Amino acid sequence: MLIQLLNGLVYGGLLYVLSVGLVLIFGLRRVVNFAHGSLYMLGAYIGYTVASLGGFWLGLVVSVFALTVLGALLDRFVFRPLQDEDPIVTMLVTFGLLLVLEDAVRTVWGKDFLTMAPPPSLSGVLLLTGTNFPVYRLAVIGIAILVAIGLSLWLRLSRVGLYVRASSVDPVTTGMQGVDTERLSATVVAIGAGLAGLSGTISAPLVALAPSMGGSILIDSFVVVVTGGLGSFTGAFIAAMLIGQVHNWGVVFVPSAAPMIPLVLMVLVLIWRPSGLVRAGA
Amino acid sequence: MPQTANVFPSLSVMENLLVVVGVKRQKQRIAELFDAFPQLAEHRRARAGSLSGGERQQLAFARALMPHPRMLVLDEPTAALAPRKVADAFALIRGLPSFGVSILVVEQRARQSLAVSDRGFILDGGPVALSGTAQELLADARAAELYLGRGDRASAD
Repeated sequence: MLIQLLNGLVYGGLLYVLSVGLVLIFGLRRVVNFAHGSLYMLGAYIGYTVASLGGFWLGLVVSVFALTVLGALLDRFVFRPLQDEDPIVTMLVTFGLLLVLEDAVRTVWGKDFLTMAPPPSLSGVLLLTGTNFPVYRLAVIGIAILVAIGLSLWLRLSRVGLYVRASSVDPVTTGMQGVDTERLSATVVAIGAGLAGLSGTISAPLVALAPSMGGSILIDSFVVVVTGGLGSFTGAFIAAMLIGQVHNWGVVFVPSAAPMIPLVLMVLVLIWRPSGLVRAGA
Repeated sequence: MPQTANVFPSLSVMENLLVVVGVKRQKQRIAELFDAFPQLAEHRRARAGSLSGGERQQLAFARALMPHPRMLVLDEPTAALAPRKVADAFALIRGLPSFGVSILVVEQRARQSLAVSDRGFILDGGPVALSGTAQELLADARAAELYLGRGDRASAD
């Protein structure tokens, strides 16, 4: 029971770190970033390769850094030039990027499944209610909680965080107050992509790496973002934890219908509250 | 957009003022504005979305005043207000020059805006048809014919 609850938190944590990046990017650029799943996947592969050379933690740092840079480039060369176009254009371009990145990874790393070991310092197990539970999984929950706390403190207390919250509501008026919204968007897209890299790397020791690994978690992230309330950071956290649990219990009890359950939950939540669990901007 | 009181509804009153970039001694400036708008000071931690229409307008003015502007251009500041709030808004606008700022108001409610103005310009299809002190315009029969008597009957007093 406790073990299943914790496994749900692990998946919920990974989902949260990925989804909150989507929320940040959507807030600033009004873009639904389909490439986000491939950023997650790329993060896992970069983490894998660097970890095999210099250890897990170096892999984590390099992967987050590389994806942050990639995010800044994505904003500069995709989102910014396309900001005056129909949103559907940008969405299609990000979908194209998803396909290109998947193929690029397939070319570089091959299409066979790869596995990555957790760092030695976290590779033990802990006896919880009579069952062995991997310490690494607890660490993943911890990292997700740290990201959540760090992000809320940043958004609530820092000046840039205030600009991000203002711009998520109304970018034009925020620009009129003298905020450089272009630079702000670049920063935020970079952070969002960096978080996708973080999520990908910490998930690498838990799953088999494949170029297609971004697809299913991307769908679940979209479910999180929509269920939580498009553009809401608090909503994303609540929804990620909820979907994490639902996904996990689904896998345990009705494995054949498991992928469908988060979608059913989304539909039910949207019937109950059409704008999601938490109104955007709250 | 410019005709609605565009504050950030999800941010607090305080945060709506803090969001303005490049204000010297920002905290001190906010304290000054809170002295001038006691209703805002009272709700400083409240979400701007929970304020009344009049309070939101005060907040929009306070935010505009943050960087010590020399001039404010108000585009139909009363357009989004309930009719009985309009007089309050004009009283608020009348008080703004005490902040050392000149005000240019574009308004449909000609009589009421002239009543709080020093000078007025009446446009007719683009060019300036009449200009003068507010007193002159209010007394001018041509002005009445051009604008005041027509088109704005609902608010002509």
